[in-house]
Amino acid sequence: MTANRVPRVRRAERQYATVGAVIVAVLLVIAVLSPWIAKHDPFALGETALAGPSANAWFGTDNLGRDVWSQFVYGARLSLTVGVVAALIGSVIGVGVGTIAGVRGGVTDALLMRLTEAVLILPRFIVAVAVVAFLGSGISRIIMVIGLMSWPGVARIVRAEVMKVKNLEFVEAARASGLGRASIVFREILPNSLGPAIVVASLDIGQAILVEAGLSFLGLGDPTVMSWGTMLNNSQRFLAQAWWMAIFPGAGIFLSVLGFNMLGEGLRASRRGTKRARNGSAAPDAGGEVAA
Amino acid sequence: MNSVLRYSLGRAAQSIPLLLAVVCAAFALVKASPGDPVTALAGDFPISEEYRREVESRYGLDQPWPVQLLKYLGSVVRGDLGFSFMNNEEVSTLIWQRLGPTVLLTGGAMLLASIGGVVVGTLAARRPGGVVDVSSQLAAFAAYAMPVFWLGQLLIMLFAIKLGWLPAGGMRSLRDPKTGFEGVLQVGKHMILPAVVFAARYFAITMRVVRDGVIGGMDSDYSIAARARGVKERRILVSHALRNAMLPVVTILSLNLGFAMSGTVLIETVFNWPGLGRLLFDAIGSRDYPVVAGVFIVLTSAVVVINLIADILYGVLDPRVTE
Amino acid sequence: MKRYRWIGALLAMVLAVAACSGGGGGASSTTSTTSASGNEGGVTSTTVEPGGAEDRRGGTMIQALSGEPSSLNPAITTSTADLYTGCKIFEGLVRFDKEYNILPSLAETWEISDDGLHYTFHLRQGVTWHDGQPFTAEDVAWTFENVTSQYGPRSAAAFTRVSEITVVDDHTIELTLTEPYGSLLSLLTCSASAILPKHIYGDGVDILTHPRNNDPVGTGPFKFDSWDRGTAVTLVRNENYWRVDEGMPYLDRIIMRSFDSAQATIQALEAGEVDVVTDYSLDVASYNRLKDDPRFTGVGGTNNPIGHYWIFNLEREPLNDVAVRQALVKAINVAFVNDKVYFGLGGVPKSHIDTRLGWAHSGEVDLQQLYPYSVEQANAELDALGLTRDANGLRFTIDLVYFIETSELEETAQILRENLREIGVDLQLRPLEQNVAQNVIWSDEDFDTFLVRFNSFGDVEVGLRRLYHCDATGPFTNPGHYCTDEVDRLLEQGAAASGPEGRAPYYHELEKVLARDLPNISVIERPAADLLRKGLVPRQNSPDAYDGWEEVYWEQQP
Repeated sequence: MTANRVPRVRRAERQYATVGAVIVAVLLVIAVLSPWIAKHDPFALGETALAGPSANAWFGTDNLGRDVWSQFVYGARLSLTVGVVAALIGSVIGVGVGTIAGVRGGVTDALLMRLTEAVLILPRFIVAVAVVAFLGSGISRIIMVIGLMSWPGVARIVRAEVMKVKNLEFVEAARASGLGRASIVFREILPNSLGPAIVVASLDIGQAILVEAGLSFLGLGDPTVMSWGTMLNNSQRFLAQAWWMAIFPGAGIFLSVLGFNMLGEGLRASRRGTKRARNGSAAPDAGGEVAA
Repeated sequence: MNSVLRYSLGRAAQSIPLLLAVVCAAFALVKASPGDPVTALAGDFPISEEYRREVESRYGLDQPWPVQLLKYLGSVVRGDLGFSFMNNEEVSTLIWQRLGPTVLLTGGAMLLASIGGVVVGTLAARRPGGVVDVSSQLAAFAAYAMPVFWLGQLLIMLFAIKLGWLPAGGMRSLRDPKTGFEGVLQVGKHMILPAVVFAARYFAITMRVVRDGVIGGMDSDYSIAARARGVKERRILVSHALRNAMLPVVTILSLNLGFAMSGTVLIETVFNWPGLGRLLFDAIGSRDYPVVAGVFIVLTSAVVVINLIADILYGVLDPRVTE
Repeated sequence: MKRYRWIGALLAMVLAVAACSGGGGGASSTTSTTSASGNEGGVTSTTVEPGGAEDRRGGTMIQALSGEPSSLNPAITTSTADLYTGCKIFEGLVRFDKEYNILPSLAETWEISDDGLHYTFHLRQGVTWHDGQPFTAEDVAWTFENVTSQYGPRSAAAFTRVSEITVVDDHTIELTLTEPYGSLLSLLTCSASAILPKHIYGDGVDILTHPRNNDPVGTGPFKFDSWDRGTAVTLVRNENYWRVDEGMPYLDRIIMRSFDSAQATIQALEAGEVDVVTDYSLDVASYNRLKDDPRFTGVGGTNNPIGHYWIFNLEREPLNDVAVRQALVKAINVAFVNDKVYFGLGGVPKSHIDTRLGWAHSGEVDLQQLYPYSVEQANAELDALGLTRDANGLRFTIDLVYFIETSELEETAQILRENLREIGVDLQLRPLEQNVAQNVIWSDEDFDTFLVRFNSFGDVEVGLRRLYHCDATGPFTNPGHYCTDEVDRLLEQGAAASGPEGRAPYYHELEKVLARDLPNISVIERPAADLLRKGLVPRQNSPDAYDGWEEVYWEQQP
């Protein structure tokens, strides 16, 4: 055992980021190009139902004769949108709350942190279920709910970083040179605190996609849009006879979550590579809560 | 120790207003939503006005909602979580009956995840970049990315239907129920698939944390010095690196344990497991607010208590925290 | 290593504790338990009883339920989970056969006076409640007066016409009506008016929350044994059932097992953990796949006359114009719905009265002839009405509200949307959770069209009147504001007349009127079917999944 394995390990971990980035890029391309690479409207009915993959229908057809390839491609667009927008909502709010708490400190900080903990304590998936069940299952509502449940994780991380950064030398220097508080926050503090937040945000994207799929599975998804979650839900009754209806959206979800997770983990590793490993006190993941 | 105790009690005290807020939030959520229990109770047939009024007065639904809330809070404090319309049973009884299966499933999964995670993580850390490490990393990523219900259904199709080795669902055998030790074995057999599926992602998390912690620990100044003193590699691994990795593992697992208990709805639906998740889900659908609030309270209390225990444990294991 | 031993011990402890707790009374094992071999192994054996049909006796049947029953008292609910379980424990005065003719149950014979105002029921002798107390007319009277007339969701309305209930003697009871009502008998089955024991429920405790609802005593073929909440209700044979001289009930035990998803239900069936899946709990795709499978017997055509109705809100434009409705109807490919959603197993509706309602359906009206599927015609008619397409090809937009509950409704809605797209109508789908939808439809009345399942319960008066009568208000009634004197009159006359010959003419006329007015159309006569494990002989004479389970037996245990 060589004494200094760490750099080699970190290098290996950075490769995950590359692999993840590649997967994400491919999926994003599919999502963006969907109207051109799909062969049909994903909802267009057809006479040949439950047909396996063929030259005509690359991914087969579903029970209403619809083309699974087209559904997959539009599903990519929708599921990725759900993931990215929800994570974005969560991140924006989280960064906002975390920065304010970290910069101001004192009572504001205490109050905001109590609020954060309170939301964190709530069973995330159950609340999503309740809100969707009560208020209706439109896709925008689903995105909103997922985003609103994910901000506390970001907020905590950002706050911790902000508190570390705000007392560093270059910030002191900026203060001494007479820069206004807002400028200091936006120009010095924020850019240096966002690192971990980006990592959490990319993990949140994967989470959001999974939550949407989970809601669809429970019958609470939005059936008027074709997402991978909707496809998976439709496929359940036909698992034994039409595996293509389940495998492709399942793989899609799996790959996108995988890609974003690898990307996030790789980013985290490459950030850590710039600091020395401390004495075994690896910081725990920010609320590693998962949508079970 | 005293400072740990004081710290813990302080945290506990902070949790009470939190619980109160959660109860009120649960109550408000159900009351504010459209639909009501009477309609849900009547099923899909028109009911007369007298019937509706009867039912409403029976269940106290005709009083102004602040009154209902106060009455409810009062009874919760006394330990009475109310009566469930849809199940015609005391809420506390319902929850008690379903709590066991949820705890069993979650606890079992977490145990699997932690044991597996520690073992695999340590093995991976001993040779970073090696076969075990890379494959376990990839497996961890995969486990984390897999939609739980998809995996569950695939496993049921394989192990229960195709191969017939394991049951397709439920917690007990209904045709041939056994008691005593054989009964325990039966439950265990029913628990295998859901626990494995449930444990997958926590295994992934634990494994990575352990691996990171052990690698970091093996390369810390302390370890370098110990190695220079001639201490065996294995001893450093176990008594220093692993021990240090336990700290974040405990934190992670306890953080996740509470959340896991609240997130069992999907697993319980796929595997027909009679736990709190399904109870809550059905109650939400039928606007059965005592049940919804009751389960919320129980789950949140569980999270708070578990976090508290984790905090204390953390404090014990790492005295730096309470100083 | 010490750590791991400790963890292992903890694991074993947790397993032990939770296996024993959590679930109140587990399924109890009766001494004459037999187990069918399957996933869990077990020895196949049959108990031999003296008396006829002994080789039919014995065995356990596990039936799948959608959801968990809320109580085991069928007199106060319409939830199918409650009724499937409760009507094995309780009974009504009568029951149905496959054609919805009335058969005796707790009432052996009855007479109806010529003016239709007096019903005399002669109750079966020697029937006892599960706790041994004798069943008498007092129980019937008490139930009708205190339960059915107030809480029976379907029968309460009928009992408003009952002015007097007279107990003539222990086994004779008379009902006096204020006006003739041809449907009274069809509302006296278990699922509408189950008879409860006065000696248990007559103690003054509120019936809706009565503790004995969870531990009931009835007259039915099976007795309550235990309820493992979240998992199953166990019922055992009633050894004193009034068909015991025929050897019934044959089964030793029935276990009603709860499931939360159709998928889990079918997986359990295929894994050997369930023996019967009926009707509401059975999704059509699985039925279609497994009905010819050698492991199972499919029993199709169980006669639960349910349709999915596309209902128009007649106060909305342009739906208030019957010509528009006719054009819309012509755009709907009902055959496609039957073919793809129901695998051809359902029925294409002919008229507004389900073909399975026997005598009430005339066979003279055929909506598929009156309004044949034709996209060109529909387009032409809408053009002629002045509802032309705009630059985007759109004529107008309407919405469709439906419950999230089943995939069938969802798929039908999507087919409707695609069909209407071809004639330039944008159908906005609004899937809503049932509670929410009920408010939207019947309180706010904020919808254009509504796709919903309606069960006629075997009788136009019982199930379909609520769709068309002017004074039908409240949830699950006439949502589209369809109201004409003509229809009201026909409905009332059909209700007041007695017997199929008396009532049929009014309903046949009703069919013609509804075909002309098109307040709604049915898009499917939903197929009802059961799926049984091979070797289990199904009931012969029951139209739905409620009654007759005493007739089921294992021809050969698998």
